[in-house]
Amino acid sequence: MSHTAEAHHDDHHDAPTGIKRWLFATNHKDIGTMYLVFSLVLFFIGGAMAMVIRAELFQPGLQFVDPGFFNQMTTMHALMMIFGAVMPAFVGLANWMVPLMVGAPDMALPRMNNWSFWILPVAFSLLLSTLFMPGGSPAGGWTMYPPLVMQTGDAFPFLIFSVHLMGMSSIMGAINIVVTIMNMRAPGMSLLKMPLFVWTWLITAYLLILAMPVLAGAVTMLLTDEYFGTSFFNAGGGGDPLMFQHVFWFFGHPEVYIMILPAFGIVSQIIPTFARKPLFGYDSMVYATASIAFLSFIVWAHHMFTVGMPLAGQLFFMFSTMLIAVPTGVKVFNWMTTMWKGSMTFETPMLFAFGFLFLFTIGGFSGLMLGITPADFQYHDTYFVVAHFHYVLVPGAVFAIMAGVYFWLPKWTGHMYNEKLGKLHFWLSAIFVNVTFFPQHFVGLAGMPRRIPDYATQFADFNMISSIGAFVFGASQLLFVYIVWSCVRGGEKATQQVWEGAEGLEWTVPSPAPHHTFEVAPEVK
Amino acid sequence: MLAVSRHVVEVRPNCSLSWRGAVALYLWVCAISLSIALVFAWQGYWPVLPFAGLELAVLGGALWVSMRRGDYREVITIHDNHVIVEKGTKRQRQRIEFSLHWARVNLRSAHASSHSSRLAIGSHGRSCEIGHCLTESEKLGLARRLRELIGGADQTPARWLNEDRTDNAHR
Repeated sequence: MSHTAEAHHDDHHDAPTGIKRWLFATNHKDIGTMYLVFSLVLFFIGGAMAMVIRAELFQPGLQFVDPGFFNQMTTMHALMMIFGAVMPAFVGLANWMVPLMVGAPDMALPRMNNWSFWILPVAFSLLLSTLFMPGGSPAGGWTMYPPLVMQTGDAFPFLIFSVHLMGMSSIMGAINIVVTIMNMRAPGMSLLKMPLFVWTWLITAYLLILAMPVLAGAVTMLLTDEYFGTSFFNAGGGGDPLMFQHVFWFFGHPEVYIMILPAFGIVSQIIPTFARKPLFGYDSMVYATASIAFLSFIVWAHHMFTVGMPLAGQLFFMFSTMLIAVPTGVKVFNWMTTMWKGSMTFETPMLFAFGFLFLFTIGGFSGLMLGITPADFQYHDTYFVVAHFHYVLVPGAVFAIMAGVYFWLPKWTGHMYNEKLGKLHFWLSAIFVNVTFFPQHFVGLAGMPRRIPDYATQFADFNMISSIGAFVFGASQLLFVYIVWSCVRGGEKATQQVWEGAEGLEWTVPSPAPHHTFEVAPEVK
Repeated sequence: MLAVSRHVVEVRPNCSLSWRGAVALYLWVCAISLSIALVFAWQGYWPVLPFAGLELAVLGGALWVSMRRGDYREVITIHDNHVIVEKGTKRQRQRIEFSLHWARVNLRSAHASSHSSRLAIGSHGRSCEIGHCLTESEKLGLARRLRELIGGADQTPARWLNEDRTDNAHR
């Protein structure tokens, strides 16, 4: 909103161009674009680290890197992908789409929006700089468990500071989204008329607001334990290292849902569009999302069943974890029912959404297996866990992001992407994500521990298959970059509605959404 | 949100949240967040508490800033010979006057394709931007309506040709 009253020269108030346009951006679309480009860059940096990991694990023995560097790669890969790729991608999509979907001219706090983006490159530059420091980058896992994390070299304070910066960015983004959705909806758009993507982001933003101070407090206590003589987690000083795990996972499990709820929202936009039917059970989808969010705060200790909890605790966390299957099941069945007898077509966004539905459910089922306490004693810290969370995050969150990008790309650029290449990208991704991660279930069940650079020869074949899958999956993402790039540069003109079955305010503006032009005032049905 | 009477056009931002709703929302978030932080503090992990407080302060500030948008008004009054634009909040209101027959309504598209256009009323080298809080559709509607009411420097405003039509609310 402008308070500018008078200008003697019109040009004085024009938007900056060139680098200044991006540096001082307050427009939600520019900032959304920056988030998405940033997340793509981090996706490739984190992906390169994954390639190092899979190259080392291609066969037993130590081939390319020493064990210390291997551990740095596993830690940094996770931090890059979680905080640098997946979360910023969802924030980018929210920046682009939420104002359009609720009929708002921009985000509620555009300057804070700018700040929350520009903190991210600083945070990740700091974190990546640790690769060149004495002792290397953090190697104790993204969970930063003490006392292991205290063995980090010079990188330790940089790790803590960069996590703080990432948290600040997330919180500011979340606050902006909450305020935008709550206060800037078009007249007539009541909460239960909001698109599901907006709903899932609203709930995600609340999760961020509630969970992030816990992470900030946890890493600050690590810092003070290391440098200021406190003993929050130092057993030698009367502290309890185990409590770090409780504190961390109190943040960490909601974080898991922070990375998947917006994915649910994207899929809930795409499936009705390509099934040409309204979403089945809209209200139940909203309540299911809220239920998942609530449950995410009371299941944290299922990540630490093996630490020696009282039986009552194990039972509580097992059953509360099982409960999550109920609202998640509601969602999966609602998506399937939406497709039932729909006039379905399978353009690339729908293929990715369908892939999400099928493969995320596999990740959900393996999560249920891990939630069974006695079974988890067997699976804990094995490759089965690695397979589980990669099924949730790669064909889950990442596929949903890609589905969203293909879905909204024509609206952003005004051009249709190359459908043939899009489908090729999907099939390469869908096949090789399974080649990569499905064998990890088998080696995990057979007892291969996670976070190791060498392994027993009995696991060799499946690891080789997994590595080949990872290399092809990684390479096929270059195709994604080419498709997006060529779509930005040109291509067949996109219509206003883009997709035959698309509904919502965002499809009533021309493509590209140049001046978010509504020919008629937004009308909420 | 846009409302037009016969000779007065009022532009105000859309606020879907009432002050009471904003306070309720804030207190609700505070209650949950502080409960979590206090439990940790009670267990001895007090550093969670200041971060929760800091974050809630930012949330409160953000809500306050956004709610204050609701006080913002742009009132464009079209008289027989002049156009008066008043804009700002109750505390800070600025007033600019233009000659009706020289005033122009200018809707310019932005340099960047993803940016919004800019709507201004101006004459004699002075201009006043209006409708910044509107979506593009509303801005276009406002521009169309103002052109009817004010017209260009070289034309008679439509309202003088058909007075009755201006009585209709634009939205």
